[in-house]
Amino acid sequence: MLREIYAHFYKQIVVRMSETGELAGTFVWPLIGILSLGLFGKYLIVEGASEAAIPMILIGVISWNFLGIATRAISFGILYDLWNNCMKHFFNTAIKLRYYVIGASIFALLSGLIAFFIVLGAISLIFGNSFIIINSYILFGFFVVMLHGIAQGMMVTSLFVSKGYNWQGLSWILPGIMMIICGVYYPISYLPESLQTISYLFPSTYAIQGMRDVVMGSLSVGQTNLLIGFLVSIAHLIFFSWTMKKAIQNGKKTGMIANY
Amino acid sequence: MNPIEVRNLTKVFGTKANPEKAIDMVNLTVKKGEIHGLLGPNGAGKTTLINILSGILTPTSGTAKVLGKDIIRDSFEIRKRIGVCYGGARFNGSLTAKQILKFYAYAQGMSGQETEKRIEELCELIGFKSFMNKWFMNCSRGMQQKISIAKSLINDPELIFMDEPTVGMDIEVASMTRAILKDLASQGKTILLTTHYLNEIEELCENISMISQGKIVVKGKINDVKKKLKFSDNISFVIKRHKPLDFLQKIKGIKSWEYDEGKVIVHTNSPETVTVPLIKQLNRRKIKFVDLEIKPASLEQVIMKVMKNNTIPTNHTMVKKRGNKNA
Repeated sequence: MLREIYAHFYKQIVVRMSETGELAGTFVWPLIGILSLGLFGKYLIVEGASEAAIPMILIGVISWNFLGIATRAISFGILYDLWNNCMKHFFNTAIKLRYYVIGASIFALLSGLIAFFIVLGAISLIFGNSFIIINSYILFGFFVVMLHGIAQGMMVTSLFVSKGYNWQGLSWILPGIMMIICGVYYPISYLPESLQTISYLFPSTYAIQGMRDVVMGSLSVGQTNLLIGFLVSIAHLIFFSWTMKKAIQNGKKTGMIANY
Repeated sequence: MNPIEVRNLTKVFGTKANPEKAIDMVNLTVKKGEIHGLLGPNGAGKTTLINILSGILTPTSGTAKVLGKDIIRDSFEIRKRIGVCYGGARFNGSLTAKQILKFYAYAQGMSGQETEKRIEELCELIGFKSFMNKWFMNCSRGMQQKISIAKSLINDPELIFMDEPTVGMDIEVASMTRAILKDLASQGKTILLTTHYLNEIEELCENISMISQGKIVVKGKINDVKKKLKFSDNISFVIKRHKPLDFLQKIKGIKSWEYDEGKVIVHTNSPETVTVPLIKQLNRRKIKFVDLEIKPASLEQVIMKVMKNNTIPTNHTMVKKRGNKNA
């Protein structure tokens, strides 16, 4: 089992290492995010906003980073094959999907952590250590966001495996949509009511709100939100694992997999 | 147990309103250690059949067993024991041959040591040591195809699907590929081979199946197929001036004949008994002829006939009709 899982981790590593742009993107985008939004937060403080603005923004940037890395790791493992027109090799080899998802998730976790520490270093250098609020609740919150990213990656994979090429764009778009809906940079109470209802379907909404609650000192509310976020993320993982399995069956039925 | 047992396999694409039958009630048996040739024009259904048997396409109806296992229920088990090689090899362009092979080896549970050993073996067998660490996209087509063959053999499969493995290769690489296929068959491995190169089929395969419009139209040993289709031999000659040739039908042993712009082709199972009476009759009727040749029917000729009619031609059906019309 470990070998099979390692295979998918290995593939992610060798593909990313060979594509410098992709590798740099994994670590450079979080830095760009932290610098631009962090400095914007500083400006808001000067203009009279609360000091809490910066940790809020930092939590948002790191969360969004974990969400994007996990979504792309899961979807890119097969998308690379789709782009290179060799997806049929993936599916005619004895590969178990769960090993694929676990291998890609380990890659997401490790690259997410590296990006996380790079971001922490940047925060410390630019804003000072006082803004770094890291405890087990915050780490757990990031973990829940990453689980959401994994589920989202499975959803994107399901779409392009069963429907084809055109759906690959969701790998990039979806984290952006989630950023708006899940209230990455603001509490969801600022969203229109209809979007607020939708936002409760996603684990990141609870996880990010939970982390904010913890930072603001409302520990018990934060704990509850984090727990709900975790449970919703598990539900997402189960549902999208099933979706992915069905999508592959459908891709084999329609010939979509054999086409690439 | 035969490595491939296909019964009434059908695959329909498209919508209910506009269905397209890619495979239509196909029955096929391939024996262990055999290189079985699957022939047919483009779009006949060869690749669809291979895709179904290798688990990337599900059939609409019918059953198929690969290595004794059901292709739907035991797909994972089957994929562990097969290898698939497609013509016009494609892999992730920014990976090296070694990285590609390592991934597929690890993904099937091979250890690091086993993988290294197997890659070494394949290097010896296929000869890709010199470009093992070159990016796939920087390899020539021949090199890429070698990598594709190596990938299909990485798990030491019992059954190998080779879908036009020599397409686009130079003569040397194609010849090497054929030698590898022979070697694999001699080791007891079974190979289902599709190719457009008929010399390849004649060189490698004992049994063939011809597929056209999704149906297997003829199958069996190459020589039996030729005999079955009454294509054993031809006598051809060129006549300078057109004269009625109906008398040919009366010569004992002539099955049918064709006439096209001065060239006459006589189909017979026994050219040795037909040639002398034929020449006598031509001389008696003062028909001047040149370039008389006796040729065994080529596989290409057989295929062309079968594909044209999409059915097994019988003695005096299409061939005779054409002869009468033209003469």
